[in-house]
Amino acid sequence: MNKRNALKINVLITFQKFKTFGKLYIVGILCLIIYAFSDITTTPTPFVVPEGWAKPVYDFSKNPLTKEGFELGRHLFYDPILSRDNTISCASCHLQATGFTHGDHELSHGIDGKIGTRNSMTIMNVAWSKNFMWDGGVNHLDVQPLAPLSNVVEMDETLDHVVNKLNTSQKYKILFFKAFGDSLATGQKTLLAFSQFTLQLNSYNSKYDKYIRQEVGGEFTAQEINGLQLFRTHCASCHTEPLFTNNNFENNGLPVDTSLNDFGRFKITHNPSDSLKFKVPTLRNIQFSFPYMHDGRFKKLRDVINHYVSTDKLKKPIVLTSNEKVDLVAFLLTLTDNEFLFDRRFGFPRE
Amino acid sequence: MYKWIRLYFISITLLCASVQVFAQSFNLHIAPVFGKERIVEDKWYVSRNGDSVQFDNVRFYLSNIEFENEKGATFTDARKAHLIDIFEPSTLKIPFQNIDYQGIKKIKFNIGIDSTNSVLGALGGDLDPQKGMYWAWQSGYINMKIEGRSPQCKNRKNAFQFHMGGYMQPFYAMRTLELPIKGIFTEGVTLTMDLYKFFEKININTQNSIMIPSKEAMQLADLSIQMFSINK
Repeated sequence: MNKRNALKINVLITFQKFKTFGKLYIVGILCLIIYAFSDITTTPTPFVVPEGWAKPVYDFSKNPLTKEGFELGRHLFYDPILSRDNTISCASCHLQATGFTHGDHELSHGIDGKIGTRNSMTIMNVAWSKNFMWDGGVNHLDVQPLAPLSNVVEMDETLDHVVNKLNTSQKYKILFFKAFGDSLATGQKTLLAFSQFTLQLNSYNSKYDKYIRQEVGGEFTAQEINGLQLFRTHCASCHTEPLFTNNNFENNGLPVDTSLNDFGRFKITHNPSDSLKFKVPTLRNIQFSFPYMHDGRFKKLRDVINHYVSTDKLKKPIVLTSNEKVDLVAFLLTLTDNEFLFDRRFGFPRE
Repeated sequence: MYKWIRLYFISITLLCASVQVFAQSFNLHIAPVFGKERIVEDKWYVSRNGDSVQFDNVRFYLSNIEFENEKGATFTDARKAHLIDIFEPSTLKIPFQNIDYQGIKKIKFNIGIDSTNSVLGALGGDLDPQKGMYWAWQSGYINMKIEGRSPQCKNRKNAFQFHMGGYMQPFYAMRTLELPIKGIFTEGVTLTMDLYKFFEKININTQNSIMIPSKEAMQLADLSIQMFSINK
């Protein structure tokens, strides 16, 4: 077969292919032109970095915040559809009034009344956190929801199954369409929506913040000023301002609870030097986030302070008189941010 | 104005797509076998150690696939990663466009997902955590899952579950493979995955479960790459 014939056959095959694909293509082109002129718009929500705070860790360029994304995330956060038997939502263990933790429970409980091994963490100012959970096992905010979702004593579900449930819901079809311009839910979009919500749960309007910014309502008493000074001397190396955490893992000297045998960070790194290290939690809204510590062993702030003055495991021992302890607690109460705890935007979404 | 720009980009994409439809493609085929037999779901196979094994879930990530020709030119995959499911035929063929396949001498790829992509949060497509190849309480992709049954597994359901992963040192379980390609292939090459070789070195009696990044996961990852070879 000579070259010219081969070329002819090639042209013919191409033509045949075009006949098959051609019609589909024209329909496709028309659809895309319609899409190009349709109006799918989202409302960007600028992320506020409070004055004097560091740059957030979260990369917003990959998940730009929008009003619609936030609303979708908010609905998901409060919806028990996330659990195997539709009984447990994120809010079951993360209540706004307590700084999004599980108030008054040493160990948080989940599906079928089962009890976990740790006290749920608060959710605040998460854009500044580079890892999550008491042991830091979760490396990115987006993938954090996978942990409670799949834990057999929390929600006992799979992301795949949740996505299937969402895709049969008319309500979520609309919410996903508004947020992403496509009504189909996927694992990725579901996780991004969670981040949209939790990234906006930011607390920076406590009395302490107003004191720092020298605003009305931020007038400290002599006791609170003394408490702040004591705090800066004894506590701030781990509970660093303004986030009130250094985002590291530390061993604060708590003896192991032998009924739990939780060695914290060690479980993730297998490094003996990480044994009994836990993530330093923020102290914001600490007035309402009791009980304290990873296993919720202390009910009162007084118990926490008594632990720190009595342990011999700290690099620098803390010595406080009983008056100083009272002043320190008075300061800690200035970290309460009522604007945050009662912000209607963060609450249960009314239809 | 914005709409016209959008339209412009859509047209460009469309044009590229139509060019690709008509271009000849070169395929990487994945052939899962057990010794000389093609692997079928629920069929029993006998390992070299005499263990009977049956598979119900074998999935793994092939990432950063790259072909190299004799001149040293490389042809990279447009997609970052592919989730291969040995019981899902649509995943067993990866097409490559615009490859000068005449002088292909080498293929390079990763089994698993690299550390960079393990810390990027929620990704989509084959990397969507929805696929069930992502860990929950300790983040990171599961590079490979080999699940099935064997009467020799002395546990509750006589089941084996190998979940190999880990992206942090010293338990970084992704493996890079470079395999020579000998001969001339015009339609594509076949990457054989021989599970016989994996079970050859395993005492399934006691070694039948791995779920976390660890020293053992590292050893199994080393073993897993011995399954792969390039065939005609």
